[in-house]
Amino acid sequence: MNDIMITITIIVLAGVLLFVVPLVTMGDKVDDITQSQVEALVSNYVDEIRSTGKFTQEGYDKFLGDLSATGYTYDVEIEIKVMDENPGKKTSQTVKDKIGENSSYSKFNLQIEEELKKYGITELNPGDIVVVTARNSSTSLSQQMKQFVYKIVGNDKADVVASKAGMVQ
Amino acid sequence: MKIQSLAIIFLIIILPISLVLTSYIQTRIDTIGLQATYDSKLNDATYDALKAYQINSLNSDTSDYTNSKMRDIKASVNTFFNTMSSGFSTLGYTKETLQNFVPALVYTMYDGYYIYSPYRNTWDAETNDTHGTDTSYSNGENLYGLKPYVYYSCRYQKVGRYDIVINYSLDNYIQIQGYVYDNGKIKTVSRSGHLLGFYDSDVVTSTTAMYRGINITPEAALTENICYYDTNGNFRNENLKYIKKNGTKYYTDGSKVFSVLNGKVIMQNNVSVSEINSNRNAINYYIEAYELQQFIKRYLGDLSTDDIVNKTGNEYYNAGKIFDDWRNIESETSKFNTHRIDVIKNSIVRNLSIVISNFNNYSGVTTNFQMPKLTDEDWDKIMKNISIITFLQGINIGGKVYNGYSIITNTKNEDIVMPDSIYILTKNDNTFHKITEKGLNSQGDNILGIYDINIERRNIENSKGELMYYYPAFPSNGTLSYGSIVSQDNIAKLPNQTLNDYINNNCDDNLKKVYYTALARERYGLYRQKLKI
Amino acid sequence: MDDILISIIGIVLAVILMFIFPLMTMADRTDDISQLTAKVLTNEFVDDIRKNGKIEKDKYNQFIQNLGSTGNIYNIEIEVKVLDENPSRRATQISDTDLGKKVYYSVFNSQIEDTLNKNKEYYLKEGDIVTVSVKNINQTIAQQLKNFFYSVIGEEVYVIAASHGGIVLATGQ
Repeated sequence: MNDIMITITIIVLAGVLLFVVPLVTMGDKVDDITQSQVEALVSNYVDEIRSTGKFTQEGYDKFLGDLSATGYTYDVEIEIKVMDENPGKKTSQTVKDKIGENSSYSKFNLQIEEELKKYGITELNPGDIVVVTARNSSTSLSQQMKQFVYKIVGNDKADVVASKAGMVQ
Repeated sequence: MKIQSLAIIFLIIILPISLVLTSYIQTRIDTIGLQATYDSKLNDATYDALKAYQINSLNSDTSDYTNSKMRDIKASVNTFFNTMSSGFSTLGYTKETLQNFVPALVYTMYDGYYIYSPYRNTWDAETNDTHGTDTSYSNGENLYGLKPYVYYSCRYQKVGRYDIVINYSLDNYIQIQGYVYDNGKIKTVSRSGHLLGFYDSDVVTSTTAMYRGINITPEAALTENICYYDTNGNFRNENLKYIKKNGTKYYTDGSKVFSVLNGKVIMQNNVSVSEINSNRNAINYYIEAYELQQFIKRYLGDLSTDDIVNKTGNEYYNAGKIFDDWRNIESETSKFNTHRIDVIKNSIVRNLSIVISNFNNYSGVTTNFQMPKLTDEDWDKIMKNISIITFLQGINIGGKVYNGYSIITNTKNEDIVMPDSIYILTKNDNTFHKITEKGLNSQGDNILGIYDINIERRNIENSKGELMYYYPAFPSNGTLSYGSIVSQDNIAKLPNQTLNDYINNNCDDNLKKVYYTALARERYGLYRQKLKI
Repeated sequence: MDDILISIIGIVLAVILMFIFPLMTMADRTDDISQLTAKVLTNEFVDDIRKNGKIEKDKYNQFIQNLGSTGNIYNIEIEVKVLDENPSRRATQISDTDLGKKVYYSVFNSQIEDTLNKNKEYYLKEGDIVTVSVKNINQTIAQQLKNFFYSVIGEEVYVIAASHGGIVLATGQ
């Protein structure tokens, strides 16, 4: 009886070790690679907006397409901090504003998407700050595995998050 | 024992080992990842701060003056913190929390530097009496701000001969102030100018100049596009002749001379139209440099690093006599240059170390802040042009504490004209080239030297209230050369050859004349506080 | 009979546990360390290019050598997006309220390596964007073991990958 028990235990353990553990570690690795890919994508996108000074519907669509090609779905948050004055406005030197002096008002996803629908393009001025954050919204493979093994509840998620901020030139 | 039991015992030993190893290596990978991310964010924020400073100063007519410069720097620091806090917002850091991790920001300028860091606000007795407790900056409060400007200077003294202070800068410009002894009598002196490597055969008088065998002649008037509101309030966009003197551009429409301040016209009487038509800036530059050379040869010829008055215990490299080899004084390996870089390095390192270690008293974070050692490559970058140096220390990343810095150089500014800022314009196809591109020899009258800042974009609000852009010196069908500016495919200079060397050996006399004239003309036109005694 | 069968199963399982499992674990760890190395090397290489504004032949060869020291073979892709300001300048000359669009054209490995062989340095300028990505093309020991057990499908399965990029901060000369 004891023998059979021990043997069954060993079989179960062997099963877990040989099959589940590698899957979890592989899932982790895939997450790592996805993380650096997403970081590179977000970084390139923000750099492009910074240099060209324009925020277009097609650029945004291409970015979303590239993101989903990594295999997960993402929540993308875009914030544009718009500066109120521009440095070229020549009033007297003391009143004219400089980039960085003003606090600014922020535009978020909803407003930006409305503007894009209306005009197809948003022009940005030098001095505006663009912040793009991408967070994964589907659970990745390693998260599913971990949940199965440890029954993790709530916030301890191994998120794939990438964000970048930059000033328009 | 049965094999199965042995197997289970073996398992109990191996499983924890492998789990621990996995999680350790995973943490290491995360740490490295975080470190790389923080490095990038720091670089990006510093780059944004630099762009803000650039755009603000290029679009301002008063950017040379000190209080305008300080305002530009404060705006740039603000941009730095804005981008940093936006970049770190996913981790929950705000601007105030981030300031606890940034011990100092250094803005190295042409002849000195500013440090931005916290200090304790201390009131003197009079302020204490007149102000109550209900003010915005109270006594003893920790504030962030710009510390006073520090010059790159060094004092030399030889009893009975001289006692002077020399202020150095990022190129060969120096200012000499102090006393020299002339035949036993003490004489106050204040001189400034560039140190140039004239040949012994060069002839320089009070009206003509020659440099390295090339005769420098007055130039025809330069023209550029300018947008302004005239005296009747009408918006104008014209191409006018101009001359740049002491940082201000004086334009003429043929009969009167004026300059433009904040888009409005200001008439000028002390510059004449003939001065603009026959531009003598380059000649004046060489005359000033020659006179400075004669002055130094007469009074300070044997100045050496042994004469340094070193009250602060600095480590100065013993270069010996710095003014003994005039022909090669502009080369990067000359004793003058070695000593100049030494003075600048010592000044920055000493002040920065003190500021950063003092930061321990101001920051709420329990880390020991120390100044990291900057590499030789870093110092090369700092010496090349005005730069921003930022530090970020103390943030926890996995197993270690982050300690990084970022140095970004500002290559588009009007404070300094470096030897590689002069582009050569070929007039037949309106293309701008760098001087190291192939095919610029034997061009005769076809080429003109242009300062690269003058082809950068400027903006102004036009009469309809729209933001309008223009390029001062870029012709309407102008192109930046694909061989040397957009991509560097067609360069004649060898990789390890210095620019000085290339110009001396591989350029013909005509190209040399155009280049030297342009460099001299632009340098002489910069804003410099000159007092000649 | 039953006893012997169960014993045999037990022995087989024990052998698997004692030999195969540690081997797989260690091979996995080796891969992890290779991943770490690849990431660090790539980051350093790219940051160096961004700060100095040039790709140097010596540093590139050093990078390839260091990557090879992990024992694997890698496929390295360098992409440089060169900024061309001429179109946007022309657009502003035509309509002075139009910023114009900055154009980037891409240059890949073969062109860069050509230039490196001729001149030893490939110069970049401020505003260009450089991206380097590294993927392994051989099968590591861990992959071979996994293939043996699970026949992992997919031809381009790579386990070691790193990529980094950014804007060039200084013009090389």
